[in-house]
Amino acid sequence: MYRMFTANDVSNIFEQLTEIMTELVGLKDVQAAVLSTEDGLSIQRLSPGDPQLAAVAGFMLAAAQQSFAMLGLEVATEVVIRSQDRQMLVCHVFIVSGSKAILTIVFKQRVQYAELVKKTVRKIQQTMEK
Amino acid sequence: MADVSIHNHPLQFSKSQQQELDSSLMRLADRIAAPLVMVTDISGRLILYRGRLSTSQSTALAALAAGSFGAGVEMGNFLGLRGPNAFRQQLHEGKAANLFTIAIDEELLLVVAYTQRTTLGLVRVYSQTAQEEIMELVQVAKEERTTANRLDDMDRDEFGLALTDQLDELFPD
Repeated sequence: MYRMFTANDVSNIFEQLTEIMTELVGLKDVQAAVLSTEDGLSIQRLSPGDPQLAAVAGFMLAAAQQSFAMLGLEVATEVVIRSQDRQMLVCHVFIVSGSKAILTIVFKQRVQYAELVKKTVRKIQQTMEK
Repeated sequence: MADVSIHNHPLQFSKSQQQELDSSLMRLADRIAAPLVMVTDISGRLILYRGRLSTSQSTALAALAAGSFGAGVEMGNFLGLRGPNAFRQQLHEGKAANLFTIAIDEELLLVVAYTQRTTLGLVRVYSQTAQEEIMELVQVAKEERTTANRLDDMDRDEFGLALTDQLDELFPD
């Protein structure tokens, strides 16, 4: 490989985001989690399935926002889907560094997720807006 | 994409504007661990560069990046994507590294190289932040260029009138 690109080119912010998301995925109720842009591009990745989850989140959010607009409602900021066997997918939109981002979490069971989402979003904002 | 006058009167940045531009690029490079960040104009004239290439290499890369971006915009033209719908971003993807280009206003391009140790999403977020920061400098530089051009025109008009007067004096009817 050309010496211009080295293994030392590691973004501190990227590493810190990875830590935050690793901690999140390590919780007993969380099956998977990804941070992405509004249009579904991964900002951080832990597992090979993350880009797919990020893309799905971007698609769902776009569909939700279009639905809200069609109904003349306010701007949609969260999408929640629950399965029959208690699994739950939460896509939460927030602003970070002037851009919209989506925090997507797949829960193994139905839980009170609001506080966890709020705390994680705050950590991501603090990391990315340094 | 741009008016012909852009090529005749490229944007000029003052020393303090260049310092702000430099800070913006350094911040971007630091955030995404980019080994190369540069701002070039759409003619391929290198404005500012931060990275591991030599001056001649970076100058050549600026010209190539502008050419490649221009080709992309023309491809969009074929598809009817013009004006506000024209392509504004370009990505060259590889196994080891990628090159991302984003338009800043209508005259400048921000070129960013990044490795697989980061993601396109993160690069997009911070490139857009840098784009907005640089856009503010571009607006000021554009206003200064307009003022300078107006003064040039006035000087030329005054010179023309003075010359006519002199010629009239030299060669009266």
